[in-house]
Amino acid sequence: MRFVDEFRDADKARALAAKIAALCEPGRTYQFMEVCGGHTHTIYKHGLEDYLPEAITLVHGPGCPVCVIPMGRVDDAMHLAANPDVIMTSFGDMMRVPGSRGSFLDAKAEGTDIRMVYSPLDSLKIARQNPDKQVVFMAIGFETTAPSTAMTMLRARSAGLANFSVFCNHVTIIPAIKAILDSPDLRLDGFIGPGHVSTVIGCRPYEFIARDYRRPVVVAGFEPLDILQSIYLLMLQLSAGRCAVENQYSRVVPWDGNVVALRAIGQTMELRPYFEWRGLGVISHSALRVRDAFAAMDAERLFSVPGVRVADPKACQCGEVLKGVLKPWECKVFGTACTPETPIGTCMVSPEGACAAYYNYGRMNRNRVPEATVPAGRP
Amino acid sequence: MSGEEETFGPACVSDHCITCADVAVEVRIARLLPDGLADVDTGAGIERVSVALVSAAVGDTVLVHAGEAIAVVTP
Repeated sequence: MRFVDEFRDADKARALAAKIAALCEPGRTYQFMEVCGGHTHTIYKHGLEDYLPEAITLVHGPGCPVCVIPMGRVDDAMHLAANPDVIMTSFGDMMRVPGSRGSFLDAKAEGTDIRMVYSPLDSLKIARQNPDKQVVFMAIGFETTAPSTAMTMLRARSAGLANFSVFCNHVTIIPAIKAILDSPDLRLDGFIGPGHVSTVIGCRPYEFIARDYRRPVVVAGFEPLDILQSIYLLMLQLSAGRCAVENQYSRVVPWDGNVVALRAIGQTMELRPYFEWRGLGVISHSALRVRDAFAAMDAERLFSVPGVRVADPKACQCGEVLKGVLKPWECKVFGTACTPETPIGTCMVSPEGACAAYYNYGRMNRNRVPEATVPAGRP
Repeated sequence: MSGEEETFGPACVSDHCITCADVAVEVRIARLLPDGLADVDTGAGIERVSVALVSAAVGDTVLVHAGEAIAVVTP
């Protein structure tokens, strides 16, 4: 048996779905946000929505790091990459994110030196091999990838590498969740908390959601049964009138997170006063920048970065999708002008973007597969 | 541009996002190396990652994001 098989057992999934359905109060609807794009991907890959009662709607959150990068930052990165002394390095999923003048991939095709890396450690290697060039790492992601960037900066310092720097676009999840809770557009009953972000930040940072906003949070794993069990735990809390933070993913997530990783982030990076998120706008203290002590590794200080704000294409409704106000198929260009091959908006780029998940797994409208759906109230 | 796209095809159409990776590579530590590095068994081969932020021993399963182990998976 593979490690994952026990988390994909169809009979157990049906049993859980029935228990969830039994907890639905007649006439009540429930909206749960899965914050993380990884969860969105699992939900559509495994057709989990079809197992859930109609009364439960899953709303897709802003936790796809590629999706929340605003066009202006892509343009800034392209500006950096255009410098002939620079080798730009980037994760693969960032390569196709459109800026206002095309993507990294377009620029690379035109001769700009942009290289795909799996890890910032690869960028360090490129820096060692190219001592006459400045190697810039396009750092994106939530608290899952920030530790990797932080450790790489620490390694670069101890190795005395002078030609490695970071274009820092790391974002933090808590301010985004708070922005969504404060948004008047949306009524949510609870949160499926991000799994891998929580391995780093732990579960405590979510406590304000239960305490101040009276919404339950269950930190969830990424297998189908993890997600169904988390929805069941949310329903149990709601039916008992409780609001608490629970950890379904305790096999990976320690309650206090990874203190060593947090320390590494704190050593190298600090909160920015504000940062623009695609769709959510400018959120204060929601992103990281390189600390003064590491100024020599801060691409924003080493090179002039225009820092322009660029409006999203008019046709693109990624903003509404990211806030959970629109379902992907309600966007005017979904599946027609905007597809994973030629994305207009960021949500169609990464496999974890809500639009790409819907498109790739054939969710083109609101219709569910009826035979899999358990009617509400039936045990 | 189409030629370039083919170069990156496998990475872009893969099942998960490198940046936050829902299947986020759970790997087994095969050999600990100096400087907080380790060779890990991904199931498809051996890769070198950083284990500087976790306390893990040979044989442990760790969760790797962008080449950095961020958590130890409890069996």
